[in-house]
Amino acid sequence: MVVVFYIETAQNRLAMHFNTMNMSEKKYTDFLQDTQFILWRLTRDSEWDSYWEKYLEEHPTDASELQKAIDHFSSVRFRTEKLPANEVEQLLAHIHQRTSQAGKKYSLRRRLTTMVAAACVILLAGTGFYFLQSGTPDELPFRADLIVGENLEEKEIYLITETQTAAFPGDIHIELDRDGSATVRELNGNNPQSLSTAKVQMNKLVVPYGKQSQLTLPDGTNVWINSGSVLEFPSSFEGNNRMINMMGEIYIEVAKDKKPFLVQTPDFSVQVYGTSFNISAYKDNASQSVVLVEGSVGITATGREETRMSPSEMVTLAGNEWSKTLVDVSRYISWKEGYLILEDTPITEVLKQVERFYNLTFDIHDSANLRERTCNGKLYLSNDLDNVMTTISLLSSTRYVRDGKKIYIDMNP
Amino acid sequence: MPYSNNIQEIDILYRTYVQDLFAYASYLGFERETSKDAIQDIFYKLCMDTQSISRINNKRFYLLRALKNRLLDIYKQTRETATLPEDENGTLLPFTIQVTVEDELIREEDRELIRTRIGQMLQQLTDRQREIIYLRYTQELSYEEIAQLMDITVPATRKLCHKAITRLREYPHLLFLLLTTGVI
Repeated sequence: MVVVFYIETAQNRLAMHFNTMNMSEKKYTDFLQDTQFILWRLTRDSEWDSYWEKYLEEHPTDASELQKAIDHFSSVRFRTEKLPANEVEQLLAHIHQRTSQAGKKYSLRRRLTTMVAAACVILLAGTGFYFLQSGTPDELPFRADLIVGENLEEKEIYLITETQTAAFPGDIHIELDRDGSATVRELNGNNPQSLSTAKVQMNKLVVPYGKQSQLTLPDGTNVWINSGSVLEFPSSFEGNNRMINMMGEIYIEVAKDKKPFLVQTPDFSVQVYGTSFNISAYKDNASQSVVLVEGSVGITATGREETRMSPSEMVTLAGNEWSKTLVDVSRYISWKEGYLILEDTPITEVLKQVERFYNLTFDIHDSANLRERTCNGKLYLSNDLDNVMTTISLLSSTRYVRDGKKIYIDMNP
Repeated sequence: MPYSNNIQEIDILYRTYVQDLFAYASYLGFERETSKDAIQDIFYKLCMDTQSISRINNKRFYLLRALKNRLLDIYKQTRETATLPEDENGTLLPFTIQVTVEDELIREEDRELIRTRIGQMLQQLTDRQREIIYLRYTQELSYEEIAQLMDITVPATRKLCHKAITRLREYPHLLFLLLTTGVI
């Protein structure tokens, strides 16, 4: 141990030092040059405290000068080379990247095993809805280079069954048994709850902005429900097919079964022929989309012929215009892993997603300046909004200021 | 998203301590990029084993120790390739610190006095002694933690200290000898 300063010699040292230091009054500069004083201040060794207490008893007139020396000493620092802010952020981004790559390997392995059971996964971004999001930022003088955002009231997740309505403050994972009982686990660690669900009628899960949930249906199908979505589902699939209704955005891995699986949105329906896919049908998005990860699905709407899809295809539905493109699937399903992949994504699009995840509203106005401002990289949707906004600022070369519930984004920092 | 909760905690740890860790690595004489790599490695490890965070009491001490271990590994690797003499515990690592006085209200001549005097004193210490001073003064670690961090056994250190203090009795005016004779 590094106790350089020994009890058994303390008395000696004391005597020695008093002899060497003149009995006449000291100035603070004398203390500042005294080795013993310096060591005392540097090591903050409690054993030395008694030494200086004793010293003061014998030299009471030195008290103020000693205090002054102590005060002066308190501003002593060791010189450091600081890592500049951008390097600090870059380094953190590298750490996240490595972690998520390692995590991907893990979840890919897990997904491959699920895949044996799951014939199909659907990413459905369906119709969103206005009623969950209310309020707009207070009116502020309009500036083309400033976006103002506001944090909205936090809302709970609702699970509505035939007999009861349960509210949950945090993200949940619901698992349905074949006998119709639901086990609900809150992801922040509270004890699981059991609920009975409606066998015949549809149960309703309402996930507001700022929240996400996961649902395991009795046939083993897994559904990830994104912020601002409603899902209706039975507790057992009794009829000839398995049917669920949704608005908002879900990613679904459909388990293999003889009964066909059908996802219904207000504007269209997706018939599953063995697949995993994402559906995005938010009302506030100009377009809705279905992205197919695995297998095969067909999309129908009233008065239209079925459009069949192959993996990695995205069908975008904007009014009556339906178009099919090849896409990088991971971009559309990463939200369920807690991050967004941005590739030349306009900042307006990024902010829209952030609005849903964190239950905010931004006064996004359409301008050339905004449309040209794009982001590249990975955005982690952590629980800390400041982290997220910092990353967005870095990715888009803007600056943000948070003032309570308000967020200001300066386009020309 | 339970994953995010832990990641968030690690982000906070990172932002709180990254400058301290970077400074410690550079005092130990490591290049800028090597220091950054080592910091990345230890936080990556934390991310991969998020359970461990809750078990750590003194996070500052934990991170400093993890960083030093990582730096020593890097140091040993480069030693091996350079076929230099063995130095298992990094006892040959330098530890260079320079004093600054931050309070602008203190008279310039006083600041200069403090800088010079402490600078002189620190120069007479061994690298490991300077490291102890730094860990005490800036990082406010306990002696127990420092001993653990520097891989020094308690009795051995006591023995060395005792020798130095005996010598000091003979030369009362040279108290600082205590810290200049390579005690630790």
